[in-house]
Amino acid sequence: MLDSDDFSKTSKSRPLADVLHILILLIIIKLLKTVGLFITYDLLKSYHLVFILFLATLFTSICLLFIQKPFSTFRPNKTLFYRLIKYTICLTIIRLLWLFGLTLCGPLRTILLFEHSDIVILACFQVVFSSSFINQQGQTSRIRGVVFFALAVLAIFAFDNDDSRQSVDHPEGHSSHHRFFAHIFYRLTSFIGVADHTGGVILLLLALFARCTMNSWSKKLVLDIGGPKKFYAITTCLSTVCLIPMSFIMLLINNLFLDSVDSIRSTIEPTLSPSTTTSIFDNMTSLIIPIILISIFIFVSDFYVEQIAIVKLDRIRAYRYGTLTMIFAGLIASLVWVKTAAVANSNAWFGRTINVEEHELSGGVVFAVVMFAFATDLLLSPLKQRSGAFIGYSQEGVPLFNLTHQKSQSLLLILKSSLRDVLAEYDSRQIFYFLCINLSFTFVELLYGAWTNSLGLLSDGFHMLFDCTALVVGLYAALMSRWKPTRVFSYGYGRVEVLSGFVNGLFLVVVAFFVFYEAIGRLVEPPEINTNRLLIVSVAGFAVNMIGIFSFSHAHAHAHGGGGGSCAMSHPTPAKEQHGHSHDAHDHSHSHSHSHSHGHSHDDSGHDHGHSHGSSEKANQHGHSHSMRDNANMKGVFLHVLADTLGSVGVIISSLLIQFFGWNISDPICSIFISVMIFLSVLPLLKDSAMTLLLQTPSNIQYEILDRILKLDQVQSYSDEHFWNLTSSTIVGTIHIQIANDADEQRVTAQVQAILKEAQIQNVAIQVEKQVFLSHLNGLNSALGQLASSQRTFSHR
Amino acid sequence: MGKSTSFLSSIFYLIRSSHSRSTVIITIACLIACVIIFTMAGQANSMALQAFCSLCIFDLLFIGTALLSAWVFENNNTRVHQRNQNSLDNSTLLFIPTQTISTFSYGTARFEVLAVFTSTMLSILGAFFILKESIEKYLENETIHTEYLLFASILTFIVHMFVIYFVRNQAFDHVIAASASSWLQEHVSDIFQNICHYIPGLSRLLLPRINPLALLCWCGLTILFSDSFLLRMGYGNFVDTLASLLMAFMTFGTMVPMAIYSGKILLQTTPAPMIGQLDKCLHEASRLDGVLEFRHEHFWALSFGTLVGSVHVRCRRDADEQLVLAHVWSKLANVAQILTIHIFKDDWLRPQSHTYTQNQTTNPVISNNPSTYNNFVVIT
Repeated sequence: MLDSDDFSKTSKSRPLADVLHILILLIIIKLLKTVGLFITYDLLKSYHLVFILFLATLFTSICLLFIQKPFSTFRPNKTLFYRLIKYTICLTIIRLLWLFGLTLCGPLRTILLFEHSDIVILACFQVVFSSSFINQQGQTSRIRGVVFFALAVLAIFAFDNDDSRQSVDHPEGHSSHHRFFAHIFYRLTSFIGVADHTGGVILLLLALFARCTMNSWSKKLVLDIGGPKKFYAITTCLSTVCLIPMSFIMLLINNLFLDSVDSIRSTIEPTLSPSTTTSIFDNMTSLIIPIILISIFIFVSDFYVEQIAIVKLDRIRAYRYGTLTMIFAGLIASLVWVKTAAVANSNAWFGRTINVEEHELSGGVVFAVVMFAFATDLLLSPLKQRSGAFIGYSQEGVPLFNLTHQKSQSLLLILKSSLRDVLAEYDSRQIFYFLCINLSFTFVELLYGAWTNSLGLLSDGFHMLFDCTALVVGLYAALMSRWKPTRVFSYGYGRVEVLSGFVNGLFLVVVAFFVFYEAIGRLVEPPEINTNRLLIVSVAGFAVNMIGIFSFSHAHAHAHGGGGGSCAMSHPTPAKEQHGHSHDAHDHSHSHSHSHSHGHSHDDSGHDHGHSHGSSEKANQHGHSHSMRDNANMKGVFLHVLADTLGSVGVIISSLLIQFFGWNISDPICSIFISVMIFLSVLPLLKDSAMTLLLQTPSNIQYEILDRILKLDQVQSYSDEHFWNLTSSTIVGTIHIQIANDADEQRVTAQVQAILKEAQIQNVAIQVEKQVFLSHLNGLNSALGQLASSQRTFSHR
Repeated sequence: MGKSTSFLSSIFYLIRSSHSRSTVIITIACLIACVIIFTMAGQANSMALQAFCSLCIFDLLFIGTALLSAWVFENNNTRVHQRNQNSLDNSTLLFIPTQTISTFSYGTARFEVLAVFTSTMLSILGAFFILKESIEKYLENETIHTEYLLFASILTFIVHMFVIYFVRNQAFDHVIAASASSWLQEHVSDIFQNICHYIPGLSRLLLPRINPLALLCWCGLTILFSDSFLLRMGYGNFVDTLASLLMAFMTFGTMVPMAIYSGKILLQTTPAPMIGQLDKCLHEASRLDGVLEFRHEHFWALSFGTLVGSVHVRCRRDADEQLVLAHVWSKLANVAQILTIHIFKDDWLRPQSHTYTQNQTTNPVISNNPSTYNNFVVIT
């Protein structure tokens, strides 16, 4: 209702006034469906869900058989029949899941989670997984819709604590009719470690996704059968047939268990025994009316009205109003129902009193209602169709559009090509192997931490992941620096390495700052530290470090024969040792991780080996090739490694001090010392890379070069001399040279170029000016720019 | 080292000069507030509050950038002044190679770019660190004291708003105006557009682009309020982690476009909005008489709004170099403020007589041109 005018403008369907009666019908039917769901929930408290589903589908199929007469013209061949059977089984399973979710979550949450149209879900997936991220207005609203949807699910999942319910029902006590399913399910949920209510949420979401995929897969099947109505009728009948054996089995089991449970209950609660011992047959009679209501409300009328609405209204509009109506009706109904249901329970309406607490409204659910409403609205809003990029006009004056979007490659291909790129060059290969080692340790640590449920190891793992990002930045920069120059990056991507070195330096500054901050906090109130295992762990880390250094010298003695491959393969043994030693790390963190937060330092023992390994490779490469030494990127990565090594040394010293002298204060002092050291060691890198970024004139450009230029024949002066380091190795320069009127420009240019080439300046642009040039400019009435100085030169001559 | 001393002296200069005294006062106030807020954040043990308080550190960086850009401005003025004085006083000395090959040949304008990049990058990395810390805190599961939460966040809000709106910062103003909008801005503007669809009267109020830093602050305040509310309701640490994650992502989203914009300038790239104009000028220049082709076109932004260009022009062998240079210059000087045009000819060492005959035989049109330099005799 809110934006009906908006819709009538945008959609190409009929105006709203013409189809108002259908809209009202749709809303009424959706309201009835909501009521039907609430009735179902009440029924499910007292009967088994398979039984209920069976009866409802039975009645529905009887209705549909009368209305639709599907089998009169239905002559299936074999394959079609198999497909139908498959679909039916899926449908039945999804319905069972849905009903089971209903018993666990209550009707309102079921409506919120399950009653979304397929379009909404598909839009969600499209936004999340679409590779071509088009920046346009529709896309942002879609993303917002997905975020709202996720928030709503999260609100139901985590912020909806119906405490009263969770306290009441312990496994198996809830309702004995669901014993078989429930037992398996409780096993599952307790295995995952969530409450059964959230388990219901998961079930409903699963059912929702399954329904979406099934609907989208069965589109062709619907056409083969001949129309959705006939299809629906047939599948409902088949589903009834499917449910017959199941429900009989359930009935039998139920009867057996019912007696035992009833006897137990009668012994516990003798006052209730008269009402609980009513026979099945009596229950059946009191069951008929609600079952009829359910099957009409939920399965028959809803389907038909929705079909009509899809045809007469728009598909999107029908879904939007349907979902919104159901969400809000569910909210209102649950407000009313909770009170009436309490009354109904006390009256033993369905022949049996139930001691189950109702699902109450909570803030999370209300929030979720609002969020779902927004999400439905946003995700169902029509996306503006992009018809392709406008290129120009054809010869007849017809506009031309480019419909081809960027070709999206497969993920595997991208991975393959990028891996080849990484392995092509020496330093990126080094970083990559080091990253692999680091990441594998991280995952071993994380998995082990999760397995043994140790917080210390887990947070160690996260810390290492954090460390790995610096490496990822370095790796990416090393990759990028080899890209070809483009229109925008006219000097090539070489400067990316300098920038990445700078960013890595900043990264270390941040790390140093936070370590310092935490150390200050601990300096004020030094925590008790249990150094029981800390020393062992840190010494082990240092030993591994020494192994790394040893292997470095070893590799250095070799003439670096196998390249990167041998580097990676030659160190499986320290990896093993690392694993064994991470057990210790686990123990130590278990013992004292609650007493203190060690900030940056204590966990370095966990991955020191890798770092030392990297440093060895780094140093190795120092011996290997000379040009790498000035590379800011590698320097940044190396400094990061160095900082972590410093951390482990600090841990050793502080733990020694604590163990032998009991100076707990030494830990924060050591952290402060480490942070200062990190900061000081990072300063040169920061300064160097910043100077390169600021286009500082390199110090090796001597004045005599300019002197020599000036002493050339016919050269009067120079101006606008700019020389700067593009990367660590290449120097770029531009210079303006003023010459006499009778000189030859090309000659001077060649001479100056030769001089500059001698000074290792590769990329030179020389502008040779004469006095004529300025008079030409005056004649052209052009902007002079920075030419004031050269103008002065000529005017003073 | 020379740089640092000059930097210190310029800071002293800033303190002494009257117009920046207010900035200094704000800096000191901000520092004090920072210390207070961070002690409170440490006491409260809440990562969301720490994430929000990192805005205060960003404020300090922001003020630093403002001071730096003021310094750069002053520097430029004095430099121009000195240069004028030089030219007036000892103009004869110009042709002696002065020993002043300055360390920053392009001047100090690039300092602001680096300052903006550094401050945005630091806050991105800080947000990243907070991301990691909040996960660790969630695992540790310590109790959170909510009593400081509201006060500290309101104090941060006030400081941040004050700094953003009362410290004049040319560099950040330019970046905010020129960089792409963050996802936060985009969503908010989308929401506001939808609102204005229903209430058109608000369009004057809601539709203009919002300062991303202010927006970040507002959103952070909202998040912290709901966080403290939920914490008091007893939802536990999960809420706090969620809030800090959200804060970190918002900081990312706000800072990343600015960092990308300034980082691209640092990488010596052509700014995207200039490409069209530049292409037009280059196209025009390539049609000039005597110009054969352009090579090595490098056009890059020196600082905010200054374009530096260098291009190699291959011209016809018989063309007048200075004329070609002047024409190309006049085309390109409108776009690029600092320009170097390298003109080269193929085989200029070849014996001229051959060229001369060729000219006479094949290209009689050339004789119309006053190409005097065509007849150079080159001695090899």
